[in-house]
Amino acid sequence: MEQTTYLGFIPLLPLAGALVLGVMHVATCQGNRIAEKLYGILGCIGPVLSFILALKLFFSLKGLPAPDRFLTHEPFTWFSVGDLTVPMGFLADPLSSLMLLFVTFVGSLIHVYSIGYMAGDKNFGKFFAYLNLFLGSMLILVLGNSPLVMFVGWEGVGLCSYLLISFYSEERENVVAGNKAFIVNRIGDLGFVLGMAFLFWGIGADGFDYLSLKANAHNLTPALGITVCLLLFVGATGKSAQIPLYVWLPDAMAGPTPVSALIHAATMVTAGVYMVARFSFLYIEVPVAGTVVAWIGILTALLAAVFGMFQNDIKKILAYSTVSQLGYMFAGVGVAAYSAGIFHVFTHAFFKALLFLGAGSVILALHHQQNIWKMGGLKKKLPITYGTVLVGSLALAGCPPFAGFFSKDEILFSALATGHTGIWFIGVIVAGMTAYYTFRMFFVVFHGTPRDRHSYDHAQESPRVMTIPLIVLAIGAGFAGFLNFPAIFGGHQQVSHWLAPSLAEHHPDAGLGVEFLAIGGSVLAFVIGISIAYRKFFGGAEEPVYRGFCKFAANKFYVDELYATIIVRPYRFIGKAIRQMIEPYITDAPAQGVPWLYRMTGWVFKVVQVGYVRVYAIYMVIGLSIMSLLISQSLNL
Amino acid sequence: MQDLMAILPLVATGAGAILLMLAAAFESFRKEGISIMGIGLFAFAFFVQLAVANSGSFAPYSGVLNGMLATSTFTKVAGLIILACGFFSAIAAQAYFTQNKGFVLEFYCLMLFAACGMLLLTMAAELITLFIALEIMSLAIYALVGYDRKSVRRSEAVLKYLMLGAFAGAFYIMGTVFIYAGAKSTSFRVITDVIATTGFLSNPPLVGGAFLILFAFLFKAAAFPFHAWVVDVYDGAPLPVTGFMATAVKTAVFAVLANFLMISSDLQAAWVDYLFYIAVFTMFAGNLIAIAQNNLKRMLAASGIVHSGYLIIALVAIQAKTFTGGAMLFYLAAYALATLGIFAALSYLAGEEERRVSFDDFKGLARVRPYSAACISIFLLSMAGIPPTAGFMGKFYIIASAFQAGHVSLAILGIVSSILSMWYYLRLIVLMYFREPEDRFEVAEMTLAPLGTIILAICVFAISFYPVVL
Repeated sequence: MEQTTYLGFIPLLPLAGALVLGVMHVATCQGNRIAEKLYGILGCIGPVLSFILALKLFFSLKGLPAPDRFLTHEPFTWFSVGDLTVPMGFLADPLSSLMLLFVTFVGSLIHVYSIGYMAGDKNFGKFFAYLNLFLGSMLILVLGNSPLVMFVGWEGVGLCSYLLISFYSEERENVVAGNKAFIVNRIGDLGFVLGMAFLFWGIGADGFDYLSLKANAHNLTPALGITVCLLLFVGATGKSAQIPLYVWLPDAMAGPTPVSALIHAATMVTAGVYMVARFSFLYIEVPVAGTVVAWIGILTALLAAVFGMFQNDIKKILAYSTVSQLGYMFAGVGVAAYSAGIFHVFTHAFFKALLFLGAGSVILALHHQQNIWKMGGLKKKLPITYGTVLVGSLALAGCPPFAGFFSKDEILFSALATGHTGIWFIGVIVAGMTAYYTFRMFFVVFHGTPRDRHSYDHAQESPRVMTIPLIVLAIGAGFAGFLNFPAIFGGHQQVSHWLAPSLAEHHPDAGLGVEFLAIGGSVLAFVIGISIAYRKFFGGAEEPVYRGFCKFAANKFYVDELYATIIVRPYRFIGKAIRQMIEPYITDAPAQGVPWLYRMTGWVFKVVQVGYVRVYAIYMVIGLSIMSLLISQSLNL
Repeated sequence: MQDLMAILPLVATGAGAILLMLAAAFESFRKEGISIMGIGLFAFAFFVQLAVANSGSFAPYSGVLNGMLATSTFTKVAGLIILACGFFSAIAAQAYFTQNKGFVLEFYCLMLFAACGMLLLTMAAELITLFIALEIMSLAIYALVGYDRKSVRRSEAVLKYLMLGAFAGAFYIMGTVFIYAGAKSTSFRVITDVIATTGFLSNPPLVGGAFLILFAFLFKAAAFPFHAWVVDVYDGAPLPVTGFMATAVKTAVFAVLANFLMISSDLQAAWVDYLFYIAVFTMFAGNLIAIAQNNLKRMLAASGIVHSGYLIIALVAIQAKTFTGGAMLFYLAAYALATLGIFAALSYLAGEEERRVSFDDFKGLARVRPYSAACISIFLLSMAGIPPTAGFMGKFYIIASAFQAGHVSLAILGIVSSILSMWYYLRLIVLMYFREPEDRFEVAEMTLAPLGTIILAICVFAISFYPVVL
């Protein structure tokens, strides 16, 4: 076995960074402050080193023959209960190594970008500490060798998302958004925990790490299998913002923009897709569960795309596009095209990070203006941002040959090839809608005439520490798709082959006709979407007044209000009833009575302490007499 | 030579006491000089005891003294605790007398005499010697409590103590007579043999004698129903003397109780049931008295009753094969650290003429004197038995010993009592930390007592992490 200690260092480095930065921040937040540059450099060291280690890992895996491509490392025993021993173990296989590569790469770029974006913030150090913690948790999630270790990271990213979404905690709204994200995620987590418990109950006795589980997966009864798969998927809908738990993600825009980028691109939301792919050996056994996943995914994609078409906030548009793209990913893993789903996660990381960071650049230039109807004509003022966002938009919209095209096409092709025609059809429609809302945003922001002259005049291009990550990501968004160049164009599908040892996947065999149909549909949808957007918005347009269905969609079908009415309010009512009725009279009353009794007895004893020697002597004599009496009984003469 | 070594601590304290008495006659030795000498002599005696601590158990000068004394690791460690208590009480006294009137030059001399009596008490292996030791200790303590004849409270306290103490002393003598009647000897060794041949419960004079002697010890240890004097006497005595009584006297008495019960397993077996109930009643009566007190000294006195209850648990569990003396001594050491620490802190915080003694007087102490408040909190938490402190380990050993001896109900009652005791310990912490200060807490400048307090606070953690159990 090869020396694998460095596996542990991949998550450890950002976590150590978080600790150092946190201590530094706490120690200095009252008095003299540490220079931002120092925080920035320290904050970036961990992620960058982790990226280097991830590269080393990738190449050492590549050096192994395909079936043996996994490395494990167990630094210590986490806990042991009875016969069950759970080590804090790490597993590196092709799947986790691919995830590691782009998580650390995109994460590092976001860290660098944040140095510019967060400049001047009074909690600069805290921000980087949280960011490092976030990345470290995500790396634990990806590297964990068992569902339990994954759960550590799973909870870690949940916590960090809460901390970072409510980062500007002076405003109540942001804190509420953080709470919402946390609570909704907890609901999903419950599903995950239950799923784990059932899985353990079923086949956990012979080891609860992935390799043992994979070997025993066929022993799972069908009923248990479908329960486990669906419960795990509930966890995934929480983390990855799918119906019905998607509501937190748009609100999560309350956090600083680099956080949005990190949540949407490298960490957090991809966790759900990764988890389903990780458990592909279970899902492949239960095709019904896969179908549910696929349908939920594609419906989420549709719903989010409808919402996305009517949003006015640049970050909200991007948020719904993320929800929509995540829907595609689930559709992919649902139809058992795991490598396609993961490949879409991979390309999405590049172009979504790029779009968010680009949006951040625009927002910063306009002094925290996020309404697209207050922008316009920024092409001249922000040339680098313009160019890079254009690449990102084309990738998101699925324009060939940008990254998004290949991965999305792969998913749609798989859906069609496995006979899920409905999913394919909705997917194509969503592709058109995606192209429409992406370029609606793009044209309104960068083309036409400035709508707000004052902020337009003051706008200027962001510093290089921000634009360089943009350019790097734009290169990725432009060319990452070629890594999985489909066979139809003479490619080798490197990513799919790389992932193959980790996933339980059957590649569907379909004729050229199916493949052409899939590609043709996607391209057609893209062209229609972009041309409508071009006609309506390229020359400049005013903020529309929504009526009818549009108003309904702009208000997100009132889903938040619906949830508030049917879940939150009754829940609050029950809580209030318990607090006002049950707690004071039924549970607290006896608890209050005990100390009262205790105190009263104490007073009685105080009275007995009269202070007269003769009384004390009498106590002694009484005690003596009673004991004499008793001992005389036990004499044995 | 080994014989001389064994009794050297006795000689050191006795000679030191005489030296102090002589020094007091000279004009050139005044208050400060005598204080430093007293502290120094306790330190010296402590190191003498430490130096001879590693010499097995045997009877020194058995030919000359006819087995009157017996030393063992148990008695030596008890001696160490007693002398350490003396040392820290002397430090507290030094601080106390910079702010209070009523100092007499013989004060430290009396403390040394008392310590000498206690050491003798731990070593005594014969009933008459034991009585002499008991009286050496008691007379010195009576004098320490009441040397300030002008104070009515001191006089009242010493009168109560003296009368009830004499009462108990009379029982002791009576018990000795009975035992002599039953065993024709006062030597522990002979009594052991007699019980082994005739049996214990079939020998009424022995039963009655042992009963009366135990009674006298329980009085000194403030066990229920002989506890009533403690609150008044501890309250009336000067603060450092209260601390000394609460710790050193208790250590000596429990050491001798353990020695006495170890005479014969039959004797111990006959007593277990009574000790069981006495332990329970002592703990709960102490708790109930303590919660109603508004005066800190009285609360600490009452809590001392509770701690006696715990120590009696160890006595219940005492057995020849699993001697729980180690657990007892550890508990005594932990309790002594916390109690001495509180009394040392009170000695300087109480101010002139013991102004601040009630709970309310310490409101908001943490704002004005954060370090003192932190130390007091550590001591209180240790007494309450909160984990990282020595008090927790002490309670843990005692309760574990009860479990091992099969007294599960006693162990559970001990835990319940420990929860009840939180009431009055946490009350002071709450007042110190969560109320606004009304007082400026100005006290005379001094260094020794605060230093001693901090050392004790560190020791509370130190002996918890490195528990030295016999």
